[in-house]
Amino acid sequence: MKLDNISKIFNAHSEEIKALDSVSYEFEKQKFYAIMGHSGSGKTTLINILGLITKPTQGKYYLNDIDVSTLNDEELSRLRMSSIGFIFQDFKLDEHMNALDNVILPMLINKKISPSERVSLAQELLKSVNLDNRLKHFPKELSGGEQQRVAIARALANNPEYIICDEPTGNLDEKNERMVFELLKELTSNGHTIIVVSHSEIVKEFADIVLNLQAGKLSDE
Amino acid sequence: MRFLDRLFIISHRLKTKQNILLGIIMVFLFVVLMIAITASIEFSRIKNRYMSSLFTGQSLIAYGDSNNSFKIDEIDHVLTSVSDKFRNPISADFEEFSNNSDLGLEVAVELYPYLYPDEIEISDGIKDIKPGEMVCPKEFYPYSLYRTEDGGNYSEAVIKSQIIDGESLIGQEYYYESDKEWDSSLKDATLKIVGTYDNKAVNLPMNACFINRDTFDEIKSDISAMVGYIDENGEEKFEYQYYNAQFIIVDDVKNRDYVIDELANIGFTAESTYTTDSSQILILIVVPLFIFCITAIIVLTVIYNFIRKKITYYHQFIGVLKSLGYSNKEIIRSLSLENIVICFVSYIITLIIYSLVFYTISTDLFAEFYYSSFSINIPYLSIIILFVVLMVYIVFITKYRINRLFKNDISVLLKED
Repeated sequence: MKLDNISKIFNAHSEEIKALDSVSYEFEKQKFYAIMGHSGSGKTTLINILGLITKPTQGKYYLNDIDVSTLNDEELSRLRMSSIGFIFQDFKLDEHMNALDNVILPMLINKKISPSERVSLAQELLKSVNLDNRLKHFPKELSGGEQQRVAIARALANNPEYIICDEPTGNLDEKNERMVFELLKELTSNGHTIIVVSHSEIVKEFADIVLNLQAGKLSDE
Repeated sequence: MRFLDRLFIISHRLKTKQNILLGIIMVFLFVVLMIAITASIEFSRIKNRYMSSLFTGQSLIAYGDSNNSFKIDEIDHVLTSVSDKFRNPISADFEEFSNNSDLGLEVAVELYPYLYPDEIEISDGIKDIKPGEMVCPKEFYPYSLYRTEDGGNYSEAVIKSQIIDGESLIGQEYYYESDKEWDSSLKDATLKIVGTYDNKAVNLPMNACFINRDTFDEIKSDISAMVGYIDENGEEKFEYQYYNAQFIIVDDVKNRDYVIDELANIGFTAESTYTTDSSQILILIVVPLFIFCITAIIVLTVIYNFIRKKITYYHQFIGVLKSLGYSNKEIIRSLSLENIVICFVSYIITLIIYSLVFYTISTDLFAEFYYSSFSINIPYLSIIILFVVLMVYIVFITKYRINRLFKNDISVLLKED
């Protein structure tokens, strides 16, 4: 993952707001990154650009040496599916699907996973986040910590290289927060690169590299 | 992405309140559309069949010098030309059928003259009806359309259980007694059923039987009416009026105007016997058509707005799918399929309910049409075409609304309302 002079400008009420200001950075593989910063510092914008959810106004973003600005929707979607797993603060699980089906959902568009493999793979993933006894539970029936663990399993469904987390513990108590960070930390040893945006100081205990974002500028701590 | 995988996604969302509401709205709208389309098409069809019916659309009444009436047969496209005495049938109340008075049924068999060869297709290859013979419908209902209800009121009804298999009556004889008080020259007749015919093929009522033309002539009076008047001495007097016009049947309704012109050339003034109030028929066709158009506009608007709201409501789900790596095309296909499934299920439910209710009540509701062999049916082909058009429309607006949503950044879609 390489950011080359990335800027993002939003227009609000005929006023330009520079959320990111000429950010350049190259992320190393299999590391746990924590991006810290105050509210409005541009953390979510940065993570959205990294997750191919928002396009930068300026600059180039290379993912696996591909300039993503040259890709069309089909190619971007394929890259997002194969390389990126997203974890949100509010989990964004489908309330109409149980835990197992939520994890299966990303697999439906992955041709490398055959339909017969999906269920066992999803069960395995949920087992790895200690939810093998909650397979048929709907999000409403799960605690916040459990929902976030389902979201982690879902993010891992297509075995992406990068796991991008936007305030993953924002809605959790400290015990669950530590459990989530531990899980994420374990993933680096399985070849995943973790990028977490968080307000929490606890994340520093688990991160390999902590980055600071202030007024749209990224710097090492 | 496989079709089954799309079904996997939508199967979880079909039971949501919105989709159930959309289904209910669609059932209601489909019912109104089906009623309107049935009425428009069927009344239009009935009008056309009535127009081409032997004793209505294809027949003429001509007035002129009866000495020249032999010339009428020489005109092209004229199938037969007879006295207008033969125009209207004789009503016979055969006693043999009168054992159903408890149902309020009144025996009434209409006796039509068999005027020319091949006028009807008779069973067993019978080509002619001889004196004393009678041919009745395969589905024979020897009663009046009107039945007496408790309290003496009349209602229109065809009691299906009283429809007789005409074939089972072959060989049976029925006695017709003429009204000699009216005309002492009239004869009685014993009529034996020798065959059956399909009354629907010639658009005649279920109680219409054909008899030999000469027998008909003997049992029906030449007197058409008796008119009373007061003479110069103040006394009440009566005068008989006789049939004096020619009843003509042309081979096709298209040739009617040609025959009218030819009749004028030999001194006859002719007019069609098709006297049904055309404005009434027009109302029967135009009003349902108008209702159909209004309903169609309402249906299209309601569906558009509902899908617009639904897609807007789905924005976060769409955002999540995008973040998981679903392409625009895959999302459009999945959500279109969801709407198609809802529409299809609503359509099937509506069609089943509509067919059941229609066939349960149609015999009573449209008794007059049923009795006259103009049965009203559900125009399934038109309804299927309507469904396909609606499907295409739903897919189109789903795609249109989602594409509009895709103009937003995925991060915008992911936000809560």
